[in-house]
Amino acid sequence: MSLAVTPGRLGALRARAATPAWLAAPLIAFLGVFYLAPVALMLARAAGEGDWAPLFAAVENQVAQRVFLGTLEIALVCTLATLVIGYPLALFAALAPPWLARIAIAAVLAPFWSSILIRSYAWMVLLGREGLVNGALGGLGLIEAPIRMLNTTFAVYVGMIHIMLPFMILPIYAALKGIDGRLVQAAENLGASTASVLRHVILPLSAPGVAAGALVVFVLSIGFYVTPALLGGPRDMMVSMLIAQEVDLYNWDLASAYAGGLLAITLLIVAVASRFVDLGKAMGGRG
Amino acid sequence: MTPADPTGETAMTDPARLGAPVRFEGVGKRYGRSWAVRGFDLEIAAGEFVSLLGASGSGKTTSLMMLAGFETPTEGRITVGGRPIDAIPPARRDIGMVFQSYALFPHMTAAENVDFPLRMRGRPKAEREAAVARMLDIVGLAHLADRLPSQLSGGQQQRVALARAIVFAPPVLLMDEPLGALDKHLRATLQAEIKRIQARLGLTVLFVTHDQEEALTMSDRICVMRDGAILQVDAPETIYDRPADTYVAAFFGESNALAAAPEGPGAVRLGPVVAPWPGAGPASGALEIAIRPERIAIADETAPVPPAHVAVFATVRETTFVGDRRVYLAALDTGEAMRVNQPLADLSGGHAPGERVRLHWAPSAMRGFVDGRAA
Repeated sequence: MSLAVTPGRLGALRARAATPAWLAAPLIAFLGVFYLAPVALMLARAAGEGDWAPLFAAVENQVAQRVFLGTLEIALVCTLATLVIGYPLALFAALAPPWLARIAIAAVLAPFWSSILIRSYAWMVLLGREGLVNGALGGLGLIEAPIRMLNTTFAVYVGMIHIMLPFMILPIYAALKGIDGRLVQAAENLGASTASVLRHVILPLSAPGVAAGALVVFVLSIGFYVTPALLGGPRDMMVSMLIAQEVDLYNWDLASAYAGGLLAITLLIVAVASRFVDLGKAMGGRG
Repeated sequence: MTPADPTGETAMTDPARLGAPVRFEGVGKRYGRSWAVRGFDLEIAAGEFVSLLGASGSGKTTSLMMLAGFETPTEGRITVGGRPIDAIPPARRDIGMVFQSYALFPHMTAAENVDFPLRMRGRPKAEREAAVARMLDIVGLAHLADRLPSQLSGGQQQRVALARAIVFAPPVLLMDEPLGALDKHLRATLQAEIKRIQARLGLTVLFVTHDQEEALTMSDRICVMRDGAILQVDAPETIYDRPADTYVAAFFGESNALAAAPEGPGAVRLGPVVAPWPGAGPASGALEIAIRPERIAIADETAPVPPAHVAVFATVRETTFVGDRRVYLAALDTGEAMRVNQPLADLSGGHAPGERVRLHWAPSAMRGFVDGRAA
């Protein structure tokens, strides 16, 4: 069943302007000047003088290879970790009574109100040698000397997972809220235990939300800069940091080649994912 | 009260018959300060088809949900096959249910939906496959087993929901307005089909509907509800012929209600005429006489009338031809309007608007009500 769209004022406007594409003109102009043109210039740099020399140099660089693989690994771990941590929370919020659900979702959204930079510095304070975590563990007598946590891969994961969690939780929560409660009743009526309801009804029907959340977290993670730069050690270099390093050294062509590689990987992932997920719908639109 | 199988003997003697008796004992459900259902007493025999009929908010769905286990009674208790079920969670009640919107799992095919309750019960795969195939065959969907619900029509989805609700041989089947979303023709087909399957399997069925015609055609007994209470539980013919009060009388089919006044012992005055009081009790209080439109004859003003009949003069206001009958709206000289259904053996003998006529009926067509209750 489909609801008839009431032709309100906007409907009349749409009818008058045969194609409302001109409404997007300011945005297209802005993106063209400040986004598409710079990206095109950057990709042109990666092409060198037609021989794609910077690109070949980038691909053959062993440090770059290791950084790209490491970045993918970090992004994958972050995606899985946010899924494992986020799904139960989204399920809790979806099942909780409205007042509790509002509190849970507010708690998930709260970090959005401060910048990533500030949150990353906050983790530095918490995880440092003299930080709160070491202080607490030492105070409880659980450790004798402070544990080195800051500037380790562990710190990168803690910071990134914390920042990425809302991006995983919100699409899953939306998908769970979209499940018809009568399906759960029907499953129970037909003899399904709580675990079976979860496994056979709730999990499969929330899969689009999981896919959307995983895609967003993965794509954001492979391009992450601030948090790994502040919390990680020298071994935790990510592609974005590699690019920044080459920019600092005025190796603009090589930096462009790395950036092009990152862009290509991202587009490939989005393209593959969009075959399985209705991205518009999963991102809160109406498909 | 004439339950189809009052003793439940059929279920005992014939192992192929599934039905178990169901009993509501003083069941009530309160939300905050208001009672959705109160003082609900109902005995359903094994294999009986009982409809809960009422307007929305009458408590019929709440009663069904308490039997399914999705609502907990505030008071009273419910037994199935003599066993109290209040402490049993919905998943272990073994009660089949067809939901109003079918509630088919959208990510499973028709066959997977029907298989679901068997899978949850851990039945062996070969047995499951055979049962699913047999059930899809019974509901006539064997050829659509691999379709998703979204690829099925409303009537087909309804059949899948029915197959899923009975494939695990539940002793009781609940149906919550299962045909509400379907068009009239399909409803009639599925009503007959549900009855056929119910009779074949001997299922005890509790069927919620707000459609009185559906309740009349399908049920062994009808339980009429209003504001959370039972007004009457009886066989369809009894409900129609001997409604317990004016609400039930008006709910089933059409009824002419005429105000009456006491006129000596055993008689009442209906406008200009005196008629025998049809009630068993004394004619005192606010009296009302109800007569079904099809029990009233319409005749020319001067035509002879059977001597025992009650006859009144009236003026035809409207005449409507409905194919197998004419429907008249006539005004008595008191101003009261009466509806008359004239069955048509042939098309002669019509009365035009404005014509003076005589309406007459046998005294046995009248039902007397005192303060709204059958007398």
